[in-house]
Amino acid sequence: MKITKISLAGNIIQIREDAYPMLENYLKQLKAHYQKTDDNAEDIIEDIESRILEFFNEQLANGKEVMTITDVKTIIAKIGTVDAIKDEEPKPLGSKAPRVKRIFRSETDSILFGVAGGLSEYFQIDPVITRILIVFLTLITSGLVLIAYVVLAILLPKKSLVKNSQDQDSIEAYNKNSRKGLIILALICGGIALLQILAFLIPQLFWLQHGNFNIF
Amino acid sequence: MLENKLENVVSQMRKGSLEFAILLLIQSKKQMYTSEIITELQKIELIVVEGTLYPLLNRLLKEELLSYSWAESTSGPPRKYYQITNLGTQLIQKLIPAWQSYTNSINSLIPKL
Repeated sequence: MKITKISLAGNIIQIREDAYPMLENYLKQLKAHYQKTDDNAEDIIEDIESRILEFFNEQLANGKEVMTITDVKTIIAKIGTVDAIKDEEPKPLGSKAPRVKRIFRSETDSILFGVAGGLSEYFQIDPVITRILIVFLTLITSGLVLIAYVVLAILLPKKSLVKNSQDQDSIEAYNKNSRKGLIILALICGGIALLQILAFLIPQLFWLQHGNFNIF
Repeated sequence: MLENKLENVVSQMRKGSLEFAILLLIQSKKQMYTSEIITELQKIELIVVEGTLYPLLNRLLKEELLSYSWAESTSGPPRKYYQITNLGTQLIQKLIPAWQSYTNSINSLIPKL
């Protein structure tokens, strides 16, 4: 088995080639985790590297020369996998578990399917403005936004439906799928709509005479 | 269900007092390096994995409640020794009565047998 030399907290240590990816991956995961939870992720990682070095030096004293997979596993068990650390980490005061803000079709503010009302609730804007925007954008995108409206009407759940249903799993599956679909759809429609809006505003950009840039 | 709840409440209690415990521990020993702190905290079952401690120590350093200095060790790399700062001592002095009044409050609610 080949041996690699790596630098750990400013020292060179020898590690078996099959153990190295495990250690590297672990440190990478830790770093990603601490970058999310702390401002001084760099310092924390440095401390952890020193700790690993210390552990390895104890092994050296016992006559070992090369770090193996078993050593890496022992270290991970001592310091803890990212999940174990997450479990134990004190949450900053006043922080709540992040909740995904959902878009629903509105049941209180609905003219057709409650899509405009729901979007307005989500983005906290006046539903009248949303409706005018939808009509306006429908006109200048030759109906594309209208299609988006219909698709949203199909995909977006009603709030009461989600809250009252007993079957959490099926709701979660439904949400997952609808959100995935929503993102793809929003990207496509958004892209095309943006092009068309641009074409409407600055026809020269598309070398067109009268802004009659039309994808359909 | 009960087991989960128990675990959750105990872990919340632990989380709330961990910083205080670290400050007390380092104060009592004058200075400690990381592995010593870990060993002591694990002995009294305040932490399970080491990874929890590093962010806390770094936070306490940043808040100037702790300071550190490097010292050579006979075996291996130099060690980071943590000491309590003046500010840290002041905080401990304020935390002790707060902790006592808090535990008294809870104790007063526990029925005597």
